[in-house]
Amino acid sequence: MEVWEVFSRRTNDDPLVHVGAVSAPDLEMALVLARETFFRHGEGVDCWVGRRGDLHRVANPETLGGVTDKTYRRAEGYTGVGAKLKRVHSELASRGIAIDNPRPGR
Amino acid sequence: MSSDARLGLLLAIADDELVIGHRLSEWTGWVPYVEEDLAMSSIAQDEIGHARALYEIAATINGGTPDDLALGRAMADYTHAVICERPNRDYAYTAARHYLYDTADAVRLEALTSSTFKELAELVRVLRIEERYHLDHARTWFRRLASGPVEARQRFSDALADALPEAMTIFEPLPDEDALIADGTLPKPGEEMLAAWLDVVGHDLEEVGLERVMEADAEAPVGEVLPTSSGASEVADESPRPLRVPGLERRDGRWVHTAGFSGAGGRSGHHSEDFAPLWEEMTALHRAHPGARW
Amino acid sequence: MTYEERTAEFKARIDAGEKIEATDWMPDQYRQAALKFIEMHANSEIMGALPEREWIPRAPTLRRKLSLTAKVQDEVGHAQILYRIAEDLGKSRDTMFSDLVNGRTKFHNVFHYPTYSWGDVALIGWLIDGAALVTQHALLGCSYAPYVRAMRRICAEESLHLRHGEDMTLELCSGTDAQREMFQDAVNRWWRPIMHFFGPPSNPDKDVLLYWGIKTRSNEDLRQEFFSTYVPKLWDLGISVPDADLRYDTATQEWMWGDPGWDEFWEVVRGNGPMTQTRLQWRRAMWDSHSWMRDVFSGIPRAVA
Repeated sequence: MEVWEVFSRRTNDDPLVHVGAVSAPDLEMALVLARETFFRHGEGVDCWVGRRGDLHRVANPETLGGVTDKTYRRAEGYTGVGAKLKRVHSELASRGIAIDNPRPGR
Repeated sequence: MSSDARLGLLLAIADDELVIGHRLSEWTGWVPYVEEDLAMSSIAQDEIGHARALYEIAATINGGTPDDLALGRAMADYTHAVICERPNRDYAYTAARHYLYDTADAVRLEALTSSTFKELAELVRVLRIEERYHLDHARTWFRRLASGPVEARQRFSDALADALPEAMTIFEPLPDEDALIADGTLPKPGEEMLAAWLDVVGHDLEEVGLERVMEADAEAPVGEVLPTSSGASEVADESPRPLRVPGLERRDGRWVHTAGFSGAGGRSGHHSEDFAPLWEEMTALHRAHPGARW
Repeated sequence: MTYEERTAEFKARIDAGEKIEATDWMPDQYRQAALKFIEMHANSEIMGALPEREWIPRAPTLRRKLSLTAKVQDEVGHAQILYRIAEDLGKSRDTMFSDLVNGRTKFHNVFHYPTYSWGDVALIGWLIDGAALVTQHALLGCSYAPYVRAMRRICAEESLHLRHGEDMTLELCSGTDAQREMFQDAVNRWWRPIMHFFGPPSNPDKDVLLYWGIKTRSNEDLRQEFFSTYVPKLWDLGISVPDADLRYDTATQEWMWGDPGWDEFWEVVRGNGPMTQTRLQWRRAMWDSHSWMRDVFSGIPRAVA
């Protein structure tokens, strides 16, 4: 018997995610059994299995994404841009620089 | 076309599915391999669900509800094959019966896809999708046990030899078979489907070196099947003789049956001693409270 | 770092709400406590299948036959998930089964009792699963991450069982006199085991499982939640609870309840419940008679030409 990790894709737009494991003596049995262990309630549209021994965890997962400041390449580094937009628009309008031509929408 | 004949066909298949589904569902909760418990339970539910779908069509002909048909008929009105009512025994017998039943059902369903009975043909196309997975499962266990350790192979092959003659009764002709063939409701007669099935099973068994399962039925004279237990040696003239299945032989590299069925078995409502307790357990609560909602 | 230092750091992580994975370092006490707790839960799921599966062959309609089969199947599925994660803590599934069927490990009290009618089936599906769901929701805050993930799936499935149980209960309570009687009779028999299910009022300061964050709420807390959720619903159905002292005190905002007596509870814990030995014997017989099947999967080396 071996442990076979089972992966599911919830809908066609979703990535494959880990949902659990089955104990089975070989691949054929693992595929047959994974169906009813994890998919009998219609939980996914795709099913993959892999030997646990073939899957490996990275060392120090808490350091994933780095530990020094990386906000320059993440959304949280740019939260001020909305406010900046408002401030710059209002400043340039008051300096008479903005071009007020007809435009859709408004 | 007599709607009675069509009703008879629907009920025979539905009863097969219900009774075998009932037996398989008895494994839920204590199969000695947890993941397999889950797989077998889904198969059992599928069979009961297929029965329900067939009873739904039958109810449009007969009147009443699917539950009336499934749980409200007298014992002698059920027309399933004897193999379905046998107790599960151990997992070797269960796996053997599962393989024999699902391979036979596959032959039957394939034939019915071209039935002139439109509603049945449409339903059958859907049932075959689920039955494919039942077959995959049955074949996986067939290979595992037949090619397994000594005791597994022995138990499994003994179980196959025991179950094979009773599985043949799945193809016992219905009383109205001629009429059903004449109008295309039944595209193939029972004997022709039996032949196709024996070919498949014979081939599968030879692949794993278990010809002896077929040979066991060939050596004995045609098997006397059922009913058993009463011990009566004098049989009244009007009551039908028990069903006897054909013998088998290997001819030109294939396994074939050597004669037709004789007597009357499950398809005429004649069941073994195992059906009475099953029927009682399955229907008692439903019958005890007529008209109640649950 | 010494073992003590690592343990203290580990405890600090748990107190800070961090989650532990199967491959993380754990103090022995944590590993043992988590394993024992999860193993007992798995045992309870697999033993819980037995009272209910008796009614699959006897179900009164096709739909109930199917839904009861599916429900018991789910309980087996829960056992599968839980034995799997218990195995990863360091005990083989075969050893866990063997310990269970030989009476060396335990399972929840409610699964040591017999069922007598379809009323029991409805009650188990509604009130027993309801009680289990109360405790299982609390486990969603557990410190052991694999168990939290398992509980998410288990709680979702139990919620469906609860609706099914409620559906059956409503039919019985609005059905014939015989059906109402069936359900009331079941409540009269099952009430005390349900009270026992939540355990005796315990001392949270001495609770090892609370210490390690494996349990997050006290027994009494959970029992009170059960009362609040289900007693009003029973009363709305005109079903009485066989505890003359049960009442809600609006001043203190808590349920007062009569002491059910705990002798029976301790007998059950010791393995002397009404159905304990019978059910363990069934499982033992199945286990013993299918050793040939375990051999099929044990990977006996085959000679190769």
